[in-house]
Amino acid sequence: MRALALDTTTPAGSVAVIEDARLLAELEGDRTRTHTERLPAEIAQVLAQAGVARQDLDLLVVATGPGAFTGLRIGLAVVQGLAMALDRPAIGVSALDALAWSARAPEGGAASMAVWMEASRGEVFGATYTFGPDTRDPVPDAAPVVGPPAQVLADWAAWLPAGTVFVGDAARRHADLIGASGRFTVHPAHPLLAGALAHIGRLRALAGQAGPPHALQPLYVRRPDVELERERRAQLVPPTP
Amino acid sequence: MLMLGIETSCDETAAALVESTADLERPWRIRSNVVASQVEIHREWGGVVPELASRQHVRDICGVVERALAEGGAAWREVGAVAVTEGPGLVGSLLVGVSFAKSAAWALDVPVVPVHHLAGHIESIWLAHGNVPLPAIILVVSGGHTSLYLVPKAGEYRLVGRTRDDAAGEAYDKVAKLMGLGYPGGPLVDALSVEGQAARFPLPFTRLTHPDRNAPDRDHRFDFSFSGVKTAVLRHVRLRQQELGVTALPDQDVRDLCASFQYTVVETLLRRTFKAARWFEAASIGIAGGVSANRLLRAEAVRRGAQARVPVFVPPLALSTDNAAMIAAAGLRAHAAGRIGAPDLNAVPNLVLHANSEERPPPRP
Repeated sequence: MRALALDTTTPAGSVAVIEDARLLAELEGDRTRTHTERLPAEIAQVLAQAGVARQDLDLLVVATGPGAFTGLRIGLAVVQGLAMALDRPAIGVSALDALAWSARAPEGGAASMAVWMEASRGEVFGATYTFGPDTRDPVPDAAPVVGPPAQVLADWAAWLPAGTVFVGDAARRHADLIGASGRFTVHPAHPLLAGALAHIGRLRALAGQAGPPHALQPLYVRRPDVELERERRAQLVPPTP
Repeated sequence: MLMLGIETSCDETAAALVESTADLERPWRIRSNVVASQVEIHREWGGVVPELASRQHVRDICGVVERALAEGGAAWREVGAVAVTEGPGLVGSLLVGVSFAKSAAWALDVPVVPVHHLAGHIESIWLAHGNVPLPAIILVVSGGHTSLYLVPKAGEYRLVGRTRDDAAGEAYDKVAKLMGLGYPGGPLVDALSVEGQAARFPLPFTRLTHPDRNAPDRDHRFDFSFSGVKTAVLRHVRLRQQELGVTALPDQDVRDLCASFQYTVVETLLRRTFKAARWFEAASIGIAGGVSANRLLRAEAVRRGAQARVPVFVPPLALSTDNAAMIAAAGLRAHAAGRIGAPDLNAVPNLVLHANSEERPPPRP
C-alpha cells in the first residue's frame, strides 16, 4: 500500500510518502509561504522524490489537528480534492497521535505519554496515551483538551502515572513546569509528523477505517470564539481573567 | 471544454459544471448547478460568522462537488479545467475552495482557473441570456457588493462606480436587524414593503461630493452610499418609539418604513445605473447579484429600460445569488483567453477586478 500524508497543523507542516511500512520520502514545508501557495506543489515534490506517480497512491492521510483553524481546513480541503479527483480513500489522523507515535517508535519506551502542542493565547492542546507491549496504533485515553499549561497539568496530576513522558513543542517550552513535580520528564524529539501520520493512517486503513473524504473533519479541540463569547455572556462559563 | 466551477467566497458552498458550446450566441451550457446554503446557521447570529462559514465549507464541499458531477452526468476524467473563486470574500472561506480546486485540478492534470467573484456575477448575465448588446452597464448588487461595471467587449470589465460604505444587501440586513425583523433582511423587507406607504417616512437620497464639484463630469464616477439611509431609518425608529412610548413599533409603521427604505435604495441603484448607461451610451443593462431578486428592483428596472429603449437583463434567481455556474462560465471565458492559475495560486480576500478597474473610466465616446 502506498500512502501520502499531509500535515498542515504547524506553519511549516510536512508531507511524506510510504510504501507499506517503509518511508520513501518526507519533506518539511517552506514556512515562509502559506500552505495554500505551496500546495499541492510540495506534494508533487515529495512524490517525485519517492518516485511514485499520483495515480499509484492507494491512500491519502491528513492531520486533522489541533492547530490553527485555517491551516487545518487547508490540509483537509487539499486532501479532499485529491481523494475525490483520484477516487481514493482518505483518513484523518490527529497530530497528537502522530507525536505520541513518533516519540515512542521505534524502540518502544514509556508506557504513559502526554502530548502538548502550542495552542496560542498562552494555552496548550493536550492528550495522554497509554501504551501496552503490543500497542501499534496510539489512541488517546480521553478526548484532547485545551487550556493554560498549569491548569492542564493540575487537572492531570491526580491520575497521570509517575514516569510519564511529555512530548511536543509546548512540552519543550514548558519543560520547567512539567519537570517541577519530579514525576514527569520531557522528550526532546520534534519530528516531522507526516511520516508518522502516514504509518498510523495505513494501520487504520488496514483495519477498515479509511473511507470517502466527505467525512473528514478537523480536530479543532477549541470551539469557535463566537460560541465561547455567547456562553460567557450567558454566564454559563465564568469569564477568564 | 467542460469546466468544474467551485465557489466558497462567503456562506454558500457551490459547485457546477458548465460546458462551452458551438453556438456563438449562447457560448455556454449549464450541466449542473449545486448550492449548499448556510443561511440557517448564520440566521441564529444575525449575520455571517466567518469561522462558522469556514467550518461548514469543509463539511459540505465533497458532497456538493459530487452532486454537481452526478447531476451533470459527468465523470472526473471529463473535467477539462477547474475554475475557482480566488476573491474577494472571507479569507477562511475562500481558502477551502481554492485549496480543494488546486489539488483536484492537479490530481486530474488539468489547469486551475482563478476567477474574480464579481466577474462571475457579471458573466451570469451572459450565461443566462447569451450574448447581450455591447457596450453593457452591469450593476452587481448583493449582500457584499454594490458595483457598476462597464463591459465594452465580452470579458472586459471596467469599474465605473461602487459603494463607498455598505453594500445594498448589507443595508437591508442592518435595517431588518434594527427593526427586529430577522436575517437575511432583503426578502423580509421586500415582503413587508408591499403593504407599506413609502411616502409616510421620507428618507434622504445620499449625494456624493466629487473632487471637483463644479465639474463633476471631469472625474466621472457613479458611486453609491447606503450608510446614511440606514441611519435615517434608525432615527425614524427611535423617534416613533419615543412618540408612542413603545419598543416594538406598530406593524404598519414597520411596513411603511420598509417601503420607504426599499423605495430609496431601489431609486438610488437605478438612477445611478441608468445615468451610467446614458453616459457610456450602453446598448444594454444587466443586473446581477442576490439583491436582483428584489421585486421592486426587477420591476422598475424593466419598466425604465423599456422607457429608455435599453434592454435590461436580469438572470434567474439560481444564477443571481452566489453560485458556481457563474464561476465556471467566467472560468471558461478566462481559460479561452489563456488565463490560468500559477502553482502558487492563493486566495485574495480584497482582490480587485482587473488592473484597469481602478483607472478613471474612459470619457464619453
